[in-house]
Parts: sequence; C-alpha cells; structure tokens
Amino acid sequence: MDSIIDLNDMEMDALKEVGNVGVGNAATALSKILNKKIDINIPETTFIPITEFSSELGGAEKIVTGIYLKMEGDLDGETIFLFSQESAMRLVDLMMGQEPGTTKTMGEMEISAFKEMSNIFSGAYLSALANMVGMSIFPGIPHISSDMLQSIIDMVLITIANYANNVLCVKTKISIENKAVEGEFVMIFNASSLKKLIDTIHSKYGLS
Amino acid sequence: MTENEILVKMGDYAIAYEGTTLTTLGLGSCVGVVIYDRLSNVYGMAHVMLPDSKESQIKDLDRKALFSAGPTLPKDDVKGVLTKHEFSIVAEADQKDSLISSYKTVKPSLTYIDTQLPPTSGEEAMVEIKNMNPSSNIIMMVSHLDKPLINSLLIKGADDVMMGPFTEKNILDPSDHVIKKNFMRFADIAIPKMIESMKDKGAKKENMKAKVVGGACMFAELKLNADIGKRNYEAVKKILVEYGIPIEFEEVGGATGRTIRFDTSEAKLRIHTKDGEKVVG
Repeated sequence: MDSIIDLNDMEMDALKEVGNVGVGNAATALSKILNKKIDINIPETTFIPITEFSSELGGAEKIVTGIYLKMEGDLDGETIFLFSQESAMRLVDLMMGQEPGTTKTMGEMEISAFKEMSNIFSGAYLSALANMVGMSIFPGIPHISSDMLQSIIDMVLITIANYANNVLCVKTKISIENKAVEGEFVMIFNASSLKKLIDTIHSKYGLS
Repeated sequence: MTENEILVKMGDYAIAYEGTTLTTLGLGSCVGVVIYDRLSNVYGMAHVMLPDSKESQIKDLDRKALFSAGPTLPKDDVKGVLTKHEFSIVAEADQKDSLISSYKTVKPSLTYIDTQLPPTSGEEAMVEIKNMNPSSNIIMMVSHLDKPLINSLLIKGADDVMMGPFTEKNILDPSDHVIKKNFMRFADIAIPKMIESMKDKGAKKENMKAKVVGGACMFAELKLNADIGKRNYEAVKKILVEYGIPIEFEEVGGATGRTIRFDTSEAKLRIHTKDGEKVVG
C-alpha cells in the first residue's frame, strides 16, 4: 500500500473540500489582519510520493519559509505551510506596513512578524477544519524556518516514511491586492487520524 | 548541477565509479553518507531518513517485472534467476517500442532494460519511461564492466545497473535494491546494503572511508521530533563503527539545510547551504 489509506473519489473530494475551507478561512483571517483584499485560487489536493515531493513543489534547493505546527485534540497530525521566500518577505512587508520590497532577508524581526501572522493564519485554518468535521482540533505552537525546501520538509516526510510512501498536499495560490503570494499547505495525518477524519466526513455529510 | 552528476534521491543510495559527482539535495534531519574506496575507485552515497526499520510498516514492492533484452543478452539465464527468486515477469519486449507500450499496459514495479536493446539503445527507452513516470523503477543491464557506461546510466536516472557476468549475485544485487527501495530510507538497511554492494563491485572494506553530513534540526525550538537528526547520525555512526569504517569527516547537527556533492576524481566533498558553499576534505 502506497498511501496511508485507500480513498475513493468521493472521499478524496471530501478531503479536498476540507482543504478548501481551511485555506479559505485562513485567507480571510489574513485579509483582516493585513486589511487588504485577498483572492484565493481553488486549491489542488493530491497525494504526492515522498521522494518526488520537493520536485513537485519547485525544487529541493528552493529557499522557502516554512511554518510547522502539530495538531492536537481529536486529530493527531502535523501541518506545514510553505511560502516561497519572496512571498514570505511580501507578507512581512504587509504585516509591518512597509513598502513592498523593503524586506530583503528573513532576520529575527521578520521571523517574529511572520510568526505573528502564522499564529492567526494556522489557527483560522484549523478552526475551519474543526468546525467542518465537528471535532476539537488545537494548533500547537508554530515554528518557523527559512531554508532549502527539501531540508525543511524532510522532518515531516520522515514522520510519514515509517508507514507510507505518499503525503497529502494542498496547494494553493493567494493574491493580495493582485500580487501573488504562493503557498503550499501540507497536512500530515497518521493513519488512524486520517481514517477518523474520513469516517467523520462520511457520517456528517452522508457520503457513500 | 554538473553534467556528470548522479542524483541520490531521498531515502536511497547510489554507487558509481571515478569520473562522476554524487549529489544529494537539501539534507535537513536526514543524513548524507559517503563511503568510498579510493584504491578500487568505488564510491557510494546514501540519503538516510530514519535510523531503523524495526518499527516500520513499510513493505517491499511487489515483484512484478517487465523484462526487455536484445539478441546478445543471455536472457534465459537472467530470467531463470529472477523467476527462482519469485520475481514474476509479466511482460517481455525485444525492442524499444514494444517495451514502452508494455510499460504503459502492465505498469510493472520494476523494469529491466538491456543497454543493447534494438533499434538504437536501451538508454533511450529508459529516459522515455523516466520522463513519463519519474517514480518508475528501472534496472539497466550491461554485459560487462563498462564503468563510463554504468556512470552515464546512473547520471541519466537508472535506479541501478546489473552487470555481467550475469551470476546469481550480480542479478540479485540490483534487483533487491529496487524491490526493497522503500527500506533504503532506513540506516540499518541502506548502509549495510550499500557497503555489501560496493564490495561486490570490487571495493575492500579495509580501504573504505566515510563522510557524514546532515542530521540538523530545522525548527530550532521544536522539542518533539527534534532528535530525529541526531538519532539518524548515531545510527549511521554505529553501523560504520561495526564495519570498522573510519569517519574521516563529519558535519552534523545545527539548524541548516545542506546539499552535498562528492567529486569522485578529487574525493572532495562540497557542502552547499543557503549561506554559501565550502569544500571540505
């Protein structure tokens, strides 16, 4: 078995919907704190082989800023949000009310501003997910790192690698005042949590 | 990326001869391990993800193989050994086009391609299948020890190379590597397998030296999972000690992602991080 769990099309659609609602809610929260209009593309939800993960997401050595947090409560899992370095710096400029292009590196102050944003962002994401499935899911403390994509993601892929070869990835693009901010959101559930999530979606939304 | 570069994927290893650069990208908690024998000119690199396989729920690939051979390859001998070891050859091809169309129909776990496959070469067929499906598993078959050819096949993306004379050992070594590829992410499987395979290729244990890089903790404040990099490093080190292979260079830990490139002609390692690049011993 390559994936953690075998899903039919309907279940995959339900998971996509979970991703969409989460991303939508997170973008709305972001829009509020930045006080900017935010547009969001329909996310792409797929299982990606762990060995192909970084090439699918723009290359192993691409510098990205990642926000990592654990999900606790009824579901046990991990989430990582990845932003291209450019997008992360654009978000920092917006957070700090600076002219776009002011931020040139992700230093201590920038990371702190970014962390502020990620607290709100990830909280909104997970509360949408929790509401949708009627579960309690609490975000752990977000951790930030700016480095090569592969190196940032490998810890999360390692968690999966003990029992599966694929990882669930929700990819989306958000634009803030017509400027693109690209983000990739990777949700990792352990097998029992993923099953629980699917079962809940089944009973709540009557999928067959 | 240089033109003679062999890319070692996350959770795998590769063994090559002089004249190549072995590369693995963006090591975070993972550990990159170079083992080489300068005297025999055999060089290996592994990209380890996890310390040990005991608790894992990973399985071997199923043994569904697609087999292709030109007129000169002793194909009955090779097939005989594979069948004896429970590989099931679900389709066969004797030239490129039929190989490609069989690949699409049977979706094999692994594909054997003779480098002498008509009409031109098996290499073309390999590249075509890899372009179609980067996760495909391909073993190239070379009739005798032709080091430049073997290097070039690995550079172009072959998962392993089977070389003549087609003894049971030479047939099974690359086959086992690929069929167990999901286990090559574990130090306890990948490192011994790579060392044994290097020995089959003429390397001597007493000449082997190692370089170990990686095992970082990318999210510095994170407590959970934080020691996975360290555990990877310790597992690798323990195995190298058991084999009596000295670690002549190591750079482990910290909170930095690292790409490593091992230039086999100089036996030098280049470490690339987001802040720059350096050449080490």
